[in-house]
Amino acid sequence: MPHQGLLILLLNVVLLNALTPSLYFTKTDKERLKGVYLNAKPYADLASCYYSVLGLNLLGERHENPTETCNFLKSKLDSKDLESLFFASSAAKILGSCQISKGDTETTLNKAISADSPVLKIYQAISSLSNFGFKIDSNKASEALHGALKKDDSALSHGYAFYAASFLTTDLKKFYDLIEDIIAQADEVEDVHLQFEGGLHTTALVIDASFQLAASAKKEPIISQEKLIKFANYFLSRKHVQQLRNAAAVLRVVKTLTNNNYHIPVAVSLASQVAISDSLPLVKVKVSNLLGESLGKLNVVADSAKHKTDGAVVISKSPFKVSPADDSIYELDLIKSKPPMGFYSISVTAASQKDDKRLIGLTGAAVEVKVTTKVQVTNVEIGVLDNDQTTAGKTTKLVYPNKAASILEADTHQRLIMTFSLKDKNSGKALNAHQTFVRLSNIKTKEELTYVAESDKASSYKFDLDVKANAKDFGYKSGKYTVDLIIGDAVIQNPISWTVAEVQLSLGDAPPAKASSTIQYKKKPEIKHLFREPEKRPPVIVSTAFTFLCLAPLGVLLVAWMILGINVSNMPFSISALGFHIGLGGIFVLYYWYWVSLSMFTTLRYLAVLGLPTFLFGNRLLASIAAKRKEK
Amino acid sequence: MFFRSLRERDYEMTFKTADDSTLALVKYGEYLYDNLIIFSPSVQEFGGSIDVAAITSFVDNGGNILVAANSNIGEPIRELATECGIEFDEEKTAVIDHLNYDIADSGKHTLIVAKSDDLINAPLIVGSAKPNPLLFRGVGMVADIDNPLVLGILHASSSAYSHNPDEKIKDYPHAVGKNTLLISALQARNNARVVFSGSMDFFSDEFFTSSVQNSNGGTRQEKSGNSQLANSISAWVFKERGVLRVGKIFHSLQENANKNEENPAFYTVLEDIVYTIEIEELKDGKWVSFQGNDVQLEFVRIDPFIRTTLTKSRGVFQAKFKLPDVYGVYQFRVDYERLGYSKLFSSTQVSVRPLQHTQYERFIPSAYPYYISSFSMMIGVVVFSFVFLHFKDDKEKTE
Repeated sequence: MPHQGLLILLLNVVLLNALTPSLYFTKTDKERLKGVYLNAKPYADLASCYYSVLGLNLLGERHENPTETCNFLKSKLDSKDLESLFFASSAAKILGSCQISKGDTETTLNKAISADSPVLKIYQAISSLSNFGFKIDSNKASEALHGALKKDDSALSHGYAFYAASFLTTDLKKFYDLIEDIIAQADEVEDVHLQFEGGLHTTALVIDASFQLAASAKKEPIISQEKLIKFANYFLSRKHVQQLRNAAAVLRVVKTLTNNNYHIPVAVSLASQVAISDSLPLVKVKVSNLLGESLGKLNVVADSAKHKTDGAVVISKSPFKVSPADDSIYELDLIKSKPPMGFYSISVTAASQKDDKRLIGLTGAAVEVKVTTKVQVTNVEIGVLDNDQTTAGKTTKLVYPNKAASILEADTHQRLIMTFSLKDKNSGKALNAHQTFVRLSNIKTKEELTYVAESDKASSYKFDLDVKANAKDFGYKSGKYTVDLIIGDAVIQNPISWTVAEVQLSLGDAPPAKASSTIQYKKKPEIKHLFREPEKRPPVIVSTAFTFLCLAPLGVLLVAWMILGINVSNMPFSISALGFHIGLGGIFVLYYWYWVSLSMFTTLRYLAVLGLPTFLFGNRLLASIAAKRKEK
Repeated sequence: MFFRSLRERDYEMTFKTADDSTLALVKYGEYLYDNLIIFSPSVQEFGGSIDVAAITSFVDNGGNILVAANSNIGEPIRELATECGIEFDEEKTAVIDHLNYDIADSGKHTLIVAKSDDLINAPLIVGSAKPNPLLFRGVGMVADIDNPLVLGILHASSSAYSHNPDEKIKDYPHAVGKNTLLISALQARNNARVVFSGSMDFFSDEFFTSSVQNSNGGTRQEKSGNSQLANSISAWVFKERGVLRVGKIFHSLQENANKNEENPAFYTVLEDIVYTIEIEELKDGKWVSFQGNDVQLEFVRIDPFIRTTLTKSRGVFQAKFKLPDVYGVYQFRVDYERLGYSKLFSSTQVSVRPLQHTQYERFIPSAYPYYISSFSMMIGVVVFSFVFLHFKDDKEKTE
């Protein structure tokens, strides 16, 4: 259904604990980005070709088949079109061995450098000039840029202006001073992200251009460390980007943030699993730049490890050791300090051994781990009790993971009771779990009902099911049910799902159900109309016999007349006599046809036609007969 | 990625923040949009002229909605869900499953792995191919059991429950086990479709591209099934799939079936008639003839007198049957409700008359004595009247 209007409402809240980036571009992230760049093939236009080539180059990938790409650039190039020149020349420059004919491009490009053109066009012209190796008139370009910026002072056009200015030789100071103002325009999101209006592309472009310009001006870009970290957080939060242009832009800025002379944000992330246990005692922390590369030797210290619920501090100022396998990963054995189970927040501080001033975000990083343990179910007893019985009835003791040997039986006058307690397998201490559910599932219908086993005292749990009171929940479906015990908690390594027993529940009769209005989503049963049965008729032979019986009088009459002999010579051969008898006979023949096929109305019509002459003829006939008699 | 896939399917999309003060669904009495996606779980109050009542009336007028929530769920979204017969759990709760969580879980066991077996068995909604395991992180919901229109698209495993992961369980959790719905849908009586997902991350690029592995002995799958399911669901909710419509309806006497006449206004009891209906399904943006084989026709006078399955022949559905022997005003009714399809309802009125006086049986064997006696009487009258009138006494002759 093409072109349907679609309104999308968005609002999302970002939640992060610490300011220091806790993400970085992992190997899979890079693979995914590589996929995005490669997916652009076959290239639709010069722009997608440029972004793809740029992205692959930033990832350090060798471009496959550069001649083919080069030929594509040449074939698509329109030497009169600025944009086409810019993308083609930039892509060609990255490819290296690709020569694009210069022709009279210089005049085309120089023409675009004027205060009347938009900043983007000026940037593209300057950049193209540089790509082709032409000389750039710095003063003219600077003037044009300033003029264009006056017309459009958005963050994006400033970003382009910074890029353009980085090619210039004079007048850099003016542009350099603008960086601070532009950075101040960024919007803060939830205290951890900074972004420009216009999203990822704009933000990435402005930051990258600022660093580019700063490098040309050979001065530190005026961006506070805190802000830069927030920008870095924003870029990392968008590392799942799939759009080609944005993917190229974000990688470009992240690459700049890992490789410049001024600021390199540090990412501190958890390299091990969140769950720490006896078998996996090491907390591993990866301290790297945003691309996950090592930053050289660092001193990494865990300032503290704090229990999240009760606030108990288990370690303080413990140094991490460098992992032998990877020098950007640092390890610390947390279990050695015997922490109680639960969630811990470890705050991490790193310091450069070589006193590298460029690194930022070294303090205040936090990683979250949890200390887990194994749970043991003990003292499991299950039994059925009469409702009126106050003393404990007969119960069965069970040991995990065995199922009760016999099938329990419970009816509406009884209760199903199960008790158990939980223990830490290692320390033997009592334990409370978040999830202590008892599930009853009907073996036949697979319907499930779950109950919460309540802890009456420390770590001793009781499940008490009054069969009568809960019969309604079961839908009064008596039958065999399995009883499963489910124990789980975030800090339990071995969640338990244990079929404890089978129980035969007799739930009594269901009260009359109300008609429900559920939709069947199925074929309904077919209905065939039952036609009314024809009444039983007497046998044909009887009616045939009576038919002949009815014919008999006529037969008798005719036979009698035949024997007696009839003289009808009195008949006058007049029209009226003939007409009357034929008419009368005709009427009766019509009656016969009425019976056989005609409808009443047609019959009446014919009858009228026949009846009138018959009547007139009859009248005359009778009159003539009467007259004859009188004569006598 | 999710929005890109929508854009590739030719939707004109407008993005607005949920608290934008210029938000409006209606302009000059007409709806501006056909479909609505609400990815703003935590919103406390919508901006502009949108509120829960406006969204509900949008649904009442046939608009389709896709709503995604998460653990920061705000009151308006919960209210909207309640209107649709779905109850979200409280703010800050999450679906927890200590037995089926992903290895990338942050520790609270809220990043759960949902098996594709727990999907509703409706290929139209969830796609015909089984997706890989699904990643889900968000809030759970339960369906109102009295609302027959709610469909649970994806439910949690039987060991899952919905609760605040940081608090002890004191009361019975809002949703437990398989009752916990992760994604649910409502197809309203006007065929408007609404889908609620408890997880907004479900539609994120991150979940679309990340790998899945159940921590408790699961095998690693390179890619989650999220994108596959999200595309299927969005295609369903925005009515790209599972939409049926009725085309032409013919009915006539069986002997007139090929004469292409207009539908007669009445029939007589006990006649053999044929009913034909065209049903079309929307497939890849085109209306093609529907391939179902379980469409039923009811012949209804207050109650159905006949219910028969239509057979498919040459692209149309057809039923041949004998009319009942009871006269009255009837309806041909096709009422087709199947999982995933829009509700199809068509009813055509026709009256059925009793027999005319000429249409009753004329030659009843047991009535032959009556027929014969009357005809013999008629013959008698003719013959006798002839004899009586023209009788000439022989005696007179002899005299």
